Amino acid sequence: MNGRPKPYQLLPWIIPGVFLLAWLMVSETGQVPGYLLPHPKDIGEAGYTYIFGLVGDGPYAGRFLTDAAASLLRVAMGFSLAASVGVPLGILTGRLDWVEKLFSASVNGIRAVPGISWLPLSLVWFGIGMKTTVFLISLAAFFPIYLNAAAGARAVPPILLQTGAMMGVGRIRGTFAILIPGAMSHLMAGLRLGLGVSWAYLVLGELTGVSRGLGAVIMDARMSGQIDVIIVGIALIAFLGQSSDYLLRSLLRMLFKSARRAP
Amino acid sequence: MSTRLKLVSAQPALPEAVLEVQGLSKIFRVNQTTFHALENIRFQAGTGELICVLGPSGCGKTTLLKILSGFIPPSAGQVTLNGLPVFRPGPDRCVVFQEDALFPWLTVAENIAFGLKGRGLGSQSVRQETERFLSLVNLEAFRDYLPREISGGMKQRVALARVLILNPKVLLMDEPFAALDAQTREEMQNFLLALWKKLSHTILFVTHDVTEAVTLADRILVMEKNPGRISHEIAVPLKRPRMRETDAFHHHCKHLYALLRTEKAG
Repeated sequence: MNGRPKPYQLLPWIIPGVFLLAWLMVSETGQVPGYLLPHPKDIGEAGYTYIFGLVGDGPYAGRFLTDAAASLLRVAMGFSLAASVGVPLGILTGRLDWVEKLFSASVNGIRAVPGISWLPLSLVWFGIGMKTTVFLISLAAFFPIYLNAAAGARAVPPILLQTGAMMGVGRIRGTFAILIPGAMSHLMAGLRLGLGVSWAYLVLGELTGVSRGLGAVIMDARMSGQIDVIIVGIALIAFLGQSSDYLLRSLLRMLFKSARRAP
Repeated sequence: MSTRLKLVSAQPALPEAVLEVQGLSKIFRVNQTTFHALENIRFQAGTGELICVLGPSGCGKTTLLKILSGFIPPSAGQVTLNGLPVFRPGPDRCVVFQEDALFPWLTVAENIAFGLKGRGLGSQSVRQETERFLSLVNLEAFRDYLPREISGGMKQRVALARVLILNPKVLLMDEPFAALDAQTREEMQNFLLALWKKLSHTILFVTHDVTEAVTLADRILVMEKNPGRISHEIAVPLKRPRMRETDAFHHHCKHLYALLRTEKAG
């Protein structure tokens, strides 16, 4: 990508740039009132206060770190739970007929239920807060992780497994040195999808009235009519979601040759 | 056909048999129909022998190889290696496949070292062996390349090195050069012969290419199909290196072509 001419490297900035310009125009000309869509300058100020302001200066001043920490912890817990069950179970499902027979009907049945429908039940079971959010996240993230792991394990070329068998490679080494690397592109896709879903369900879980978290801030700001804070919250979730995806990819690349050397 | 079976076991100084195949049959049942893929296959391979299995596509060559390597069980008969029956795949009978079967996420050197790892060898000796086999297949300069970055001929050399490093008792090759262009195929044949001269492995080489069989083999097992069985056993007493332009070479090829044609007619 570095060899490309300059204009090419500007490509990713065109859409945000045009978007921001249009926003500025409608705000400056007053075509859209500020209580529906605040001026970008106000958003900037609200964001600055939210992130860098002193706690106590305003209702949202300086809350970013504690909110982000709370949200990140929930995502991390829910996602790790989903991954630690989804990956092994998915690989087993992809390779062993009886595991597939045992799980696939049930998993598909549960998958047919929209994740949101679990909210009332989980509120009853776990109450408002951490547990409900983690439950919703892990439930929602499980499916893309599980299904992709199964598809990946199924798609590993049999000849690679035969090669292992012929070389006298045992089950454990075969799993870690052939099966998992062979399924890596699917595994990665599933984990990334799962992480994306995790952020979506984080907000759902936090909308229910927890005191800390980015989703909580959005909901809270709606009550108090602070549209600028809502938009700041959305932008920060986008940023954190994007960063966590980047982090996940880097981590996988660091740990696995097969992720590093994917074509 | 079996009356025309020409035995060459009367050769002087018969090498000790490593691989013995006795009364091997394979029947596939698809729905209600049965299909005799292999019928009463029997032969021996002596230590250091290079045997080619030659036959038209669909004669069961690959099935035979899969049974020898232990990937599928025979319907009848048995395979023994140094007197011990073969049940499952193992590093004493390594296969070089026709298609690219390298691990795409490992470099050339890592692919070659793969089978040695997890055997309790020190990393030092794994490295030494890997170096030795990298140089045997002339790929030192490509050690850090990934399979997708090297040519088809190089890939098959890696495939050879990664099994030879395990020192198999028999090397099974399933049309390993069939996917290569004509020139590379010839290079690879010469390369294999040079390697065989150095390491003197027992090799069973499956091919449908008459010229390839005559170029390589000490002995050729000619197969026919429906049912798949060995119709002829031909010794190739030509001296190596074998020149393809010589009359003797042509004579062998012609003979084999004739045999394959009569089978097709019958």
